[in-house]
Amino acid sequence: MDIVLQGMVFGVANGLLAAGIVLVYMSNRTINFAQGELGAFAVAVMFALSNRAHFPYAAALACALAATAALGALVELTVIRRLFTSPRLIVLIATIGVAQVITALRAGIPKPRNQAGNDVVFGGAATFPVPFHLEPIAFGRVVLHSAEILVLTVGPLLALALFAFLRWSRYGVALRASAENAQRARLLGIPVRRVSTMAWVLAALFSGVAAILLAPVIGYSSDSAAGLSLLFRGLAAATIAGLSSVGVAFGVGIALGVADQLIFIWTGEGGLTDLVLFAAVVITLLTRKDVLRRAASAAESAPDTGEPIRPLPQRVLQHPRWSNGVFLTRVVGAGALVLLPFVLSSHNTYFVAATLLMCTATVSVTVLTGWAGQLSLGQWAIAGLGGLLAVQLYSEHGVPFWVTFVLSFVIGAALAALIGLPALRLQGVNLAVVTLAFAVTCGSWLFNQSWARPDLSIQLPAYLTTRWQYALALALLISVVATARLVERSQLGRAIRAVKENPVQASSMGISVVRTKLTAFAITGAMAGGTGFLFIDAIGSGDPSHFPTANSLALLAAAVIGGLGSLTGAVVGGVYIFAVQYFAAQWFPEHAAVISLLSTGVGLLVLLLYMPGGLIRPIIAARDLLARSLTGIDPREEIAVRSTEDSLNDAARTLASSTPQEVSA
Amino acid sequence: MSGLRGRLAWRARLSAYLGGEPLFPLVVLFGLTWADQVDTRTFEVLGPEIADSFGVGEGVLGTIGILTVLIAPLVGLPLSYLADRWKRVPLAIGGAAVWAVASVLTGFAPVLAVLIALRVIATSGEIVNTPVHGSLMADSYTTSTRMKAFGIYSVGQTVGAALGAILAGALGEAFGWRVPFVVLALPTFAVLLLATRLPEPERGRFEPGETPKAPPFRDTVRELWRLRSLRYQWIGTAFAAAALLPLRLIVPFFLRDEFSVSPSGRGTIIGVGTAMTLFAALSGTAFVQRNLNVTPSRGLRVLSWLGIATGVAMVLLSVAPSLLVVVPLIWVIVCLFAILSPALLAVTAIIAAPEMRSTAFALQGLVALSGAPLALVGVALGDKHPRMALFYLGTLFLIGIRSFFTAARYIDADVARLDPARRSRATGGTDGGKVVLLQTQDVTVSYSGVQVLFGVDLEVHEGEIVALLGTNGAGKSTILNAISGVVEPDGGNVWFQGEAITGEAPERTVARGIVQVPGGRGVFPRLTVEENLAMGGFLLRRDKELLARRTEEVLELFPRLRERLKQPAGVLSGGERQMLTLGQSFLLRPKVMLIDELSLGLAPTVVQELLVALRRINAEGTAVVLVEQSVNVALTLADRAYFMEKGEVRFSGPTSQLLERSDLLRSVFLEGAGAR
Repeated sequence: MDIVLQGMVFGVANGLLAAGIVLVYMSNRTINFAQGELGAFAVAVMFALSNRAHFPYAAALACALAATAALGALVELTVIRRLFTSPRLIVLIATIGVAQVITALRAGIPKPRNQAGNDVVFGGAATFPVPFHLEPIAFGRVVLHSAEILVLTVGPLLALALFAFLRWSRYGVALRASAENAQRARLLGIPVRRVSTMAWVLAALFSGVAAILLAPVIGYSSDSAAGLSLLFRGLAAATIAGLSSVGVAFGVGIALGVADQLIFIWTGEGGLTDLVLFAAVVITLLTRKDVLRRAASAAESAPDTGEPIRPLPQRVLQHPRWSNGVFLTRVVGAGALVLLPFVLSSHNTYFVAATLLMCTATVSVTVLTGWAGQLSLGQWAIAGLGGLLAVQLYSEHGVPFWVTFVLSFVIGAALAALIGLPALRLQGVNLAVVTLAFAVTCGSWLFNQSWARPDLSIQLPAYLTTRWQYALALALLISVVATARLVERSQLGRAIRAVKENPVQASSMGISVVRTKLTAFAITGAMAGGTGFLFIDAIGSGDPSHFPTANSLALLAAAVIGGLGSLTGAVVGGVYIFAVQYFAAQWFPEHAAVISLLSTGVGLLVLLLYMPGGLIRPIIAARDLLARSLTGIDPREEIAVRSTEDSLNDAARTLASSTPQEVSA
Repeated sequence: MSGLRGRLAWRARLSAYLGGEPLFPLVVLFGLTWADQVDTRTFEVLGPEIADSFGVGEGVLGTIGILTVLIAPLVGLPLSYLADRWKRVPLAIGGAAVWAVASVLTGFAPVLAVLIALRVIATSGEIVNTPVHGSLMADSYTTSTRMKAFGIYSVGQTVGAALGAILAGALGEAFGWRVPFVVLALPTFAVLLLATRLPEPERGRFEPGETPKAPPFRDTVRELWRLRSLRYQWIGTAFAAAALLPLRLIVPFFLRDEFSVSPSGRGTIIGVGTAMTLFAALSGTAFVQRNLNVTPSRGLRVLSWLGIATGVAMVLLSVAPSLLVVVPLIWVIVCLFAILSPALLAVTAIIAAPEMRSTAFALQGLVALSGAPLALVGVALGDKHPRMALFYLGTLFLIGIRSFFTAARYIDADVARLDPARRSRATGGTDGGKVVLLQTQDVTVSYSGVQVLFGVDLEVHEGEIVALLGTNGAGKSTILNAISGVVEPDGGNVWFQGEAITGEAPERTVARGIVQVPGGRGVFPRLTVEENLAMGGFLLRRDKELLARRTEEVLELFPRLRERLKQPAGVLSGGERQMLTLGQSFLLRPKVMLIDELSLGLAPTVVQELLVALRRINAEGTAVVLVEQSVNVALTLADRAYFMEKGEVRFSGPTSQLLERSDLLRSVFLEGAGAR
């Protein structure tokens, strides 16, 4: 019983975070991945104000919450509202970008100082301010301090207030109505956009309150992952609750908190929280009935960001000037790539190799998300697990290096297929949650298991110098891209796309949806596993902290920035993100993390808002221009640019105009 | 003698440049803006001396600067309101007189407070220029030379600024700071005398048709904001201005810190650049004008490409390795900017209707100001990292230009809306003794590039029931959506009670009394019936009593709903859902109901019940537009009917006549049979 109480402390905070996520989901039909970040932001502002500016508790709290609410409103007004009619998964990706930008923003807030005057990066429970100090109450094995009592009293009250608001107030009902049918709500004069802003402000407030209540209990952290762990607590509860009822979400949040504490006591093992949440999410999602119906709505699940890329017409491709030009470019490019490690310093060569590997991983995300339509937020975790396991075999069990290299592909494929199993029933938003849960669980639990964790330092075969590693990375990238191209042109590639666009139609044509999806997961998993293996070798260390969840998100960002669905785009996006990281580390070493987060987040948002096709669009436009000036053939005119709708429309028109006469004749 | 001939030749050339249009208005306005710049620069240049003589720091000057920025909207908007309604020449003269007098008095300011007051007054006088001059220019020069005229006008600003700075500096050095204010105000008086001879041009005389009176201020703003081309152009302007203003501050630092250019070197670079802008402004605006004369969208697109070039030049500047690259880039940027800013004014003048132009110019200035926070970021960055700042500003500029491209997509349709034939038919009048309530004129709609409506004209009279029939995919629902504001028409207009409501958001059209009723799909399944009705009455939420009364009436009309008040709407039968949907809409007592599919999928007895209710609703004074698949239902109810096919109206008239048109009706039945 006492443990239950302790669990409820965490549970209430989970519930508040979950309530915020449900609120946003109700009004925007998307999961707000910035929810945790909003809370972490509130904590940072609050702590800075009370510690650095010596604000009293109430004033600091008011300012922090006001700032968070304003931030929520700003996000809604500048990002969400502009994506009002976009596919919901695009909005979800946009909230990931928002989360990254807020993380960067948070890094700019002055850190609190301890008595010695040094910045506090991590703080125990005692450092965060609380409004009052009560005599701690002992209750069985648990001692409740003021902070815990505060959580237990304020949290339920807030949840009740939200429940009452949604149930009885005009605007609350309007929010639910907008959630059901936004267009109809507008036609009744309900200001849907204002309601959406309101939902974001409320969600931001809830996240802020939850995080501020929780901070004195679990301690303060300025780590960039602080928001992610908050997010995951709420997300698990919200998903399990089915994203439809604030009350249920709050209840599930509490239940999860209690279950977590009970398991902690029973097993005596820490760090299981995320594993428990992961298991709970997977089990509920897989056993729920209505996910199937939801999975069927392709509109919600396909993260399309633009029209497919037009290939150059045959006449251009066969034109001698063009083909010679392409040949020449390839020769020069290949030469440059071969010469590069001889020109660059060893450090830079290592860096280029790492970038190439990141590009490879981005390609795998592009195939999985762009082609197969499976939004995966755990690709880097798959790479990590596959790589770590293979390296483990090599360094501790003496399996020959090249054998383990091959095995890393196999392990990656198997892992991804395993992750893909839930994907048979889940799509879109739910799959994103599951894969994120996998990534988070990997980071906090799986990677720390002795069977998954090789030695920190790895003795590579002596001949594997940095240059050779570069060569391996390059070879991997080239072969992965080549494989992807082969797949694209094969029956399998067409099946993958067909299943994404219209699974019902595809299965009625005899395509096995199950096999196609699993194959897509396995192929991309293999790519990721090999990448992870080489990445660990390049670093020369089996430290799993090189596979943070944030990097999985960065890979998705790279794929979207490059242009989701395009292999060239994937490479461009990968180079963009990781080159910025590199230059940031060179020029502004003290701000490197912030700059790379900003470049990812801002890049993601700018592209989604202004150039949803990604960086590949201007590249294609330039290619077309070049082709025209070289060959004199305008590729745009060559292929009749008629969208399907256009031709269908025409067909309908012809039919409509001809039918009566023909029938009467 | 040769001087005179030279002057004549110069005049002839200028006149030819303007296509033979009169020079005089331009001379006057040129002079006024020139004089305005001289005054502004005088204060800027002599700032330090003024501060010294009053024994205050630079901060005070900064405060004056901020004050003058802040009063811009306070003075600008009311002035633009007047300028759209009163004679503009007196306003222009009045404004100029105010600043000229204030400028002279500045020279005699005894204490700081007086000085500040005088500066604020002078600036208020100068604020007259943007809205009033713009409107005057637009009515003095035809659309085919207007941009060139704006180009020359902007030269006046540049020359004024340069000359003002030089003269103020020279005079100030010789006689102290007070004398220049007095001396340099003299030309303003000269121009003022000239200006009194300027006739007031007729408003909108180059736009065909009669120019109506300006609508109330709120409506003017709404009307302007509704024009998508204008809206996107403004959004773009906000970004572009935010990018360009800090540039003036950063470039000198950039030159000094990165390339150690001496002050005189910087002066030369910027001076030569300014001189080049004179040429660029003239030839560039002429170039854009030529394209603009083909179609407005082409002109705006060319302008946007020039903008892209500017942005790219800014980005290149941020990575430029040597002075040999930097200096030409700076020149390119200032020259392109000298083309962009007058050209944008001319584009605004094309899109905005004559009676709203002053407001448009004032608003454009305001929107440009809204980019200030972004500009401040640039300034802050420029302090430490000028290269990073330049890169940031270039990106910002390019983001803004993107909106110009978007604006170019809509500009042709927006300009076409000014077409007199459409404007003059702004009714609200009567048609054969019946009051026209709702009217669409030539409405065209496209969904992602595919046109689905091709100029639809509909008319709904007060209190009548109109049937809207047609084949599947004929655009029946689309025209309803265009009326209620769910989709924004590409072209044409929607009038309601004599007011243009084209493209208004649904929230607003509902408030006007237009309620669209999506058949059967209108309920919120997880909300209870009671909550559903409450949402129908959302707009009445302030008047609880009225809402309760009307809810009661709806429940009397549909007694079956009363039994189910506390149940979620998802469990209702099809007929009951339809009743609830009608009830929701009827709560608002709309002037017109747009009903999309009343009878679809319902049993005949239920349909009969609904028809009875609908007649009662109609009897209360609500006009009804009824989209129907079932011709029988439509024809038993409606007096008049429209028949649509393939996005066009094929028939309109009394329903009895439609019954004779078997060719049309058969297609409905056949299509319907084929589709189901």
